[in-house]
Amino acid sequence: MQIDFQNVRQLMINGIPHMAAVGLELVSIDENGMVGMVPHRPEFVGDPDTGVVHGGIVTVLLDSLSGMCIVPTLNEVMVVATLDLRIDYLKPAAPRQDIFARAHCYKTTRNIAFTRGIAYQRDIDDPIAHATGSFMLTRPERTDAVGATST
Amino acid sequence: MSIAEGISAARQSGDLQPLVEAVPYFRWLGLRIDRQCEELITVMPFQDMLIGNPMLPALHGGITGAFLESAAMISLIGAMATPKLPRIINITIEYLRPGRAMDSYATGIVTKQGRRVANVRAYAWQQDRDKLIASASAHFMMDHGKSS
Repeated sequence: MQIDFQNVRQLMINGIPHMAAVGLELVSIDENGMVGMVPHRPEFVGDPDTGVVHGGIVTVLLDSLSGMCIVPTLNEVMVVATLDLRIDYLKPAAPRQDIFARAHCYKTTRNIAFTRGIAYQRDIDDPIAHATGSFMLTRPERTDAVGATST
Repeated sequence: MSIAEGISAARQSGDLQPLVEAVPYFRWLGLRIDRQCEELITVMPFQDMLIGNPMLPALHGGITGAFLESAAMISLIGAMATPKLPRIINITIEYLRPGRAMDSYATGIVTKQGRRVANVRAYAWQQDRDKLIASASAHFMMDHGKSS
């Protein structure tokens, strides 16, 4: 499916309230997947003693990118809903820095898409988290049968 | 109030709400603690900004995961002996049903608390506790060499 950068960006920022709420920005799309970013904000802090962002923001970013990166790999319009997401927190995020994530869909079957992704700050080779996801794919007319939370 | 002081105060009074208020992200989500008998329940009041699929509408999958992670950590703090903020190592979130546009509830069960690592299982539901919207299994580092 042909989906250009501006289209996805519009969909993400305007169409998904929680992505807009965290200020999620799409950075790039290429054959290796999608890159997005959540800017640092004081309200995202999870440990006020250190200023380090809460893991929940990393979860939202990785879930969003993992779900979004599936869309360009599909041959038709499908509803993508998270089935299972595992996140390994590799090191604490540095305080007061934006967080980036790159996600890639490495396999799609009729009903399921499999993804992996990493979150990082200044250096993609020094990631803060790693994610493995699986997502249910549903044709829009069967949306009511979806058994999982939508991304 | 530092987190260590907040945890100590919460353990003495049995009220974790001030600790939740001390964490900016929990405050942003509007998390509330509802202690029922011996059980700690974390409440995430519905807000429009939590929506991930406006068509259904359904909660964003990431926020459901973030909520389970928060509830797991809050339940662990309620159960643990030392005033340290646990640090998450990993979490696996299983999505069972769409989270609807309504308040969500979650609780965590500390499956094992070791000296260094704790294992917590967390469950989230909405109006019907028998119909979970998601569950999670998480590991936390308890002793990460930091006084707070």
